[in-house]
Amino acid sequence: MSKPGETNNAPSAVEEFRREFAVVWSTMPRKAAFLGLLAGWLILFEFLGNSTFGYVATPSLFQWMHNAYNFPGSDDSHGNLIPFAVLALFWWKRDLLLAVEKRVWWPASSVFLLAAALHVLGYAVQQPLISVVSLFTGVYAMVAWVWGWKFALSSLFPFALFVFSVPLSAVLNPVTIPLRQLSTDLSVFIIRQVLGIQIVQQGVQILDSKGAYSYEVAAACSGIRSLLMLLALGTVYAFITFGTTWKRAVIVASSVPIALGGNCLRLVAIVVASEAFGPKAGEFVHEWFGFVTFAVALGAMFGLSRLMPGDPLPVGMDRRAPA
Amino acid sequence: MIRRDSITILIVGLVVIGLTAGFLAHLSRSQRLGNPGLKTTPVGTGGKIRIDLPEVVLDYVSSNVEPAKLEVDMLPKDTTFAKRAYVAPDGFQNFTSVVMMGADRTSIHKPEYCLETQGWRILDQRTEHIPIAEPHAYLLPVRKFTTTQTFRSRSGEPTRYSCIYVFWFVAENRVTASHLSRVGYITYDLLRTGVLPRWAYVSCQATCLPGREEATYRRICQWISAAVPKFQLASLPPATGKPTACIDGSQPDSAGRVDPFPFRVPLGLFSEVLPVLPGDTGRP
Repeated sequence: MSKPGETNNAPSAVEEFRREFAVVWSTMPRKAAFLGLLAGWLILFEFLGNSTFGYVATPSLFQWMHNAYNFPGSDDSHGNLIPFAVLALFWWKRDLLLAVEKRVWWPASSVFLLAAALHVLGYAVQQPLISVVSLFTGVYAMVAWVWGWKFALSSLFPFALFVFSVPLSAVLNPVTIPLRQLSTDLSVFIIRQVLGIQIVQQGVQILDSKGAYSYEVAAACSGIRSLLMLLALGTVYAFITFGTTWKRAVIVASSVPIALGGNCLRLVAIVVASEAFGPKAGEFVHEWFGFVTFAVALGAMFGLSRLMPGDPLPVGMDRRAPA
Repeated sequence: MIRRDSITILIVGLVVIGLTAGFLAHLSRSQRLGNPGLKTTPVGTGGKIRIDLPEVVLDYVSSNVEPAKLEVDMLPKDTTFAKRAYVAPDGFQNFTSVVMMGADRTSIHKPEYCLETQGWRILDQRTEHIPIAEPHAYLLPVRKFTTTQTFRSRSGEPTRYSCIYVFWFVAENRVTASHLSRVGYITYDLLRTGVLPRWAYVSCQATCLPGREEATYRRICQWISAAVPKFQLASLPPATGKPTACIDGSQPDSAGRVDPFPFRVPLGLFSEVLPVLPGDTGRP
């Protein structure tokens, strides 16, 4: 604590970040090659990234992705946050990455070529999802090409998080539809057998026996959105908390039953509110309870992690250790 | 100062990107949407079309059915719909629906999902072949679903109904009953000619009491056999396989009518009205 009259010369967090970033940046070799390649690659996907005429009328794959993340009712809205999460985790892991040997690795150029060919295929058959995979594969190939396979291997987490940037909900119908049915079946079981409320089920429709309300567990209520978000969050949490593979796998795998349980809890709450207070109460719960159940799901995941003994993270990653 | 290895990497990488861009530019100029495989009429401007389902087929008369709002809202805006309810003199109803994609392939979807989420349980699914006489004799491959659902009246009395659901996909010079083949054709045609096939999904459905499924399917089969030459342009090579026998008519019940379906509205995939039983108002 400074005395009166003295100025406080301690650097702000922003200033400290700038200084440290400058040091890290100056340490990385062959930056011009990487940035030049990256710029060319991104320009390619900006002007010749999307061929699906009429669906989303843009040549830009980034615009297509933005549309996929942000159209009303999208289940892929978490895609907006993934690039920031990846960058933040790269920064978090910087000490370990700086310590890895960096050498040019020419075999990665063949992966880069394959990524380009994959984009041509995706463009030709009008499957932007293939082009999205190609985009991230190409960037990863560049990392391996310019800085070597060891650096690429060390970067796999968090780079692999870009899998959540691929808008998957459109192709997950084989998952979404059974998920809707399972959510409905479980919720109806709880409502009937546990709570003793008599309701009628027709497929994914839930009706009360008196005809006061009916609900359909629509695609938006299948739980796929919270499942994808929990999977992404669970993956990040697992990797920054645990150093052991099986513990990470447990946390990631637990996302599925926890997301399903949270969704069922929400459906049960909607029906209970309608039964007790009428359809308007059910609508209110439908609008607002999603946040509550997601918080409960997160709490369940953190609680599960507390049951597993901690283990040390690799050197350079444990930022909880005092300096 | 940029090192030599950096310059080499940059040059090689940018050459790859440049060649890729050139190939993609060529592709973008050559790709186009294909023509429909059904008879259509232009409507207004902006490339909109109307699918010309026949008003009369055999002794069936028909009425137009507007697509459900749910279906219109869920599917891409450039989707074209055509739906008609065909009724025979003995009361047998066949609900026919056509959904045709525009540039967006997601207009075409798997009916299995929609049927099951509406509460229809699929008991049997198979591919059948229906004989078509024009423009030449060929066999139309269709997927046939036999489904069932139990409905409850307000008093809670359950009644089970069956539904025969028949569908196939058609585009210009393309006819198939298989989703996989349809996706395969899209890939093949785009790679070979740059043409995106404009697929339409044609379905016919009729409900009946349990035990009448085969007779109901034969009625649908007869209708399809007579109707397809009236609205479908695409066909297949002359018949080589064994067709399903479309035997004339099913036997009417003792009241002189064929299993009347008591519901007041046809059950489309996206019917907004729950099935009703006699005496119910139909709204929850």
